[in-house]
Amino acid sequence: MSSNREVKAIITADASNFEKGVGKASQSSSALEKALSKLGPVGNMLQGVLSKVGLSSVSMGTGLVGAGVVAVGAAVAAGEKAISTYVELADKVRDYSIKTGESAEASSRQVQAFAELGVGEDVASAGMVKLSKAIETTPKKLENLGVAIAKDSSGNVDLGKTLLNVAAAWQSTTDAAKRNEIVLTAFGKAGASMIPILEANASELARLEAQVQTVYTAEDLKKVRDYQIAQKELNRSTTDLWNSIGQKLLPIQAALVDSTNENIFVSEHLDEQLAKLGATHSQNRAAIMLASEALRQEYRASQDAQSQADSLANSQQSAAQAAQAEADAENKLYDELHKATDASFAYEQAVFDLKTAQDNYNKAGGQTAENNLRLREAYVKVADAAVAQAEAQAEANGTTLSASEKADIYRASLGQLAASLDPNSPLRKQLQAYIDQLNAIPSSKTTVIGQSYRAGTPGGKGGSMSFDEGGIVPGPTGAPVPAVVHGGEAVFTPKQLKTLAVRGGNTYNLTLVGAAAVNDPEGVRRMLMRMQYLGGNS
Amino acid sequence: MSKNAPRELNAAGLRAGKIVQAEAKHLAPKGTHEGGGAVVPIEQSIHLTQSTKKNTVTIIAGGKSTPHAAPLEFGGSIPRRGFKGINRRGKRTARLLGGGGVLTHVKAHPYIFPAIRNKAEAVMAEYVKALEALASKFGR
Repeated sequence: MSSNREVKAIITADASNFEKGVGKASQSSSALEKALSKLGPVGNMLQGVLSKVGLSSVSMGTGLVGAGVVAVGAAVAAGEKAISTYVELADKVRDYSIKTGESAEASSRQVQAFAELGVGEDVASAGMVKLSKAIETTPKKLENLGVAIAKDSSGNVDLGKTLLNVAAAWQSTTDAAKRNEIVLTAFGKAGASMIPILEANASELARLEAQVQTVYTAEDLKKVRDYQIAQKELNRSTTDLWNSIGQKLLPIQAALVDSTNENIFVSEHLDEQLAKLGATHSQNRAAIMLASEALRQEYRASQDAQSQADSLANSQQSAAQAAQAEADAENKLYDELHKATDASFAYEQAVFDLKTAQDNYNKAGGQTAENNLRLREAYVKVADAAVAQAEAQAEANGTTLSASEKADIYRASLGQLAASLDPNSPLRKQLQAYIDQLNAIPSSKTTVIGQSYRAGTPGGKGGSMSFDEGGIVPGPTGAPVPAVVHGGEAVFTPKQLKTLAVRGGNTYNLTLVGAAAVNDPEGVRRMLMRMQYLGGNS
Repeated sequence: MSKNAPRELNAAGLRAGKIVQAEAKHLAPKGTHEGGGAVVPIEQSIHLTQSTKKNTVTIIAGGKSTPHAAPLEFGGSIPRRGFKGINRRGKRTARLLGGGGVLTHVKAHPYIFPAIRNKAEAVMAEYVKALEALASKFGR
């Protein structure tokens, strides 16, 4: 913070590099403008437009916000197309010229003539390089094959005319082997790609070359090269300019990216769209605006489609999760059914084991203690298996069995097994006794914990008192009192009575239902503990 | 053309600065809590300066008569009457001692940087116009 307590925000645009970029682009464009006269009427139209094209291409590349894409009008858009074609061809010619050493003019004619025959510049230049190497390393071999090496007035090799001689030698023989040897010797292993050129006779090639409209001089190629470099520099410098403006505005750069991408999309597809609309570059700005708007809508629709695809992916994921949940539920049901099946198998196995034990018992005549034990064990196992089977089936049905129900099933199973035995069989008697024991466990038990006072003398020191109906021993706490008690009765100290929470005429009923007393003694104890908190005098 | 380039961009910068200035004035806190007497309200203190050499436009708020401009933008504290000369260490000590009676704590209520954010597109559009104007003059 400044000493004057000021807040400052700076907006800056560093145009120094931009100036240089524009300056160079301006100069190179002016130089290239002259070269464009070779484009004939189109080139004339472009007079004075090239410099604008230079900036428009930059504006398209960097995606100026707002009307930047078509800011410079229809003529410029058309000019840019023509210029880009000119520049691309110049690139190819320059590349061919460098590789083959041919002059710019000769390279111009050959590249365009070969293109007419379907041989690209890259293939042609590679082939010509091989030919020049063959001329240098194996001239005799070429001459033996009938290929005359042409030379110009200076005594240097004329590759163009030598190529024509190769074509003539190739066409002069119908022997496939010799033809292949010529191709291999002249152009190497990739020579087959040059065959379309060899198929054309000399006059045809000469005619094609003579028809070439755009012939570049060395100076033309240099101008194109300078123009390309200047355009790249202008592009970079404009990017620097935008970055300098954006330094303080960084949070909004991300928002601009989308509009930038949209602008680039529009500029790249503008020509196609114009063709679809039947418009030409010579029509007015309205046609181009219409085309660019259509492209913008297409771009935005594709972005929407992307978000819809994302939404669809999410909904598909949800559907997949739901399907997974359903599959899990099915698996669970399957496991439960499987468990029930296993329980059935276990029951059947227990029955088989019982039969085996019975057979062993009968064989031994019931005299062997071990067989007796195994038989009794087998009966119990059958009953256990019956309970397990019932449990598994209940689980498969989504229910559970209570302890009482399990006990009933257990007893019933044993009862059925006992009934199948001979009434006089000692085994049946043993089994029945076991069943009777099980039946002796009450399914419902009510325990009344209560107290009643019995009227009578408090009990003298010499006498004894009877408490066959229960009651509290009268007299001071802790004072000994003789009493008559009977077998099965319980005597409690005052402390134990407190625990039972019994005092002063209150009756508390503790009802045990089912086999709870047998199966859940801990629960009974907890209930008794709770009862000590019930109201009453302590 | 190279001589025209910075002039066009400088003009664009000035227009952009005025846009941001107007927005900052709109967002600036207003009211009697700004103080009375010799205190200049923040809205009136927002002004522009331009450096054509550096191609910069600066939006400034605050000053001697508007000491609350910076604390309101960023949050902070203002010394109360009688503690005008308090420095940073003094402020720290006052805060440790509870600050009662020495500092008035100010909650941030930014206006300049939100103005830039709100008007960023408009700023960029001004530069676009400048470049389009340059493009139309290119080659003349």
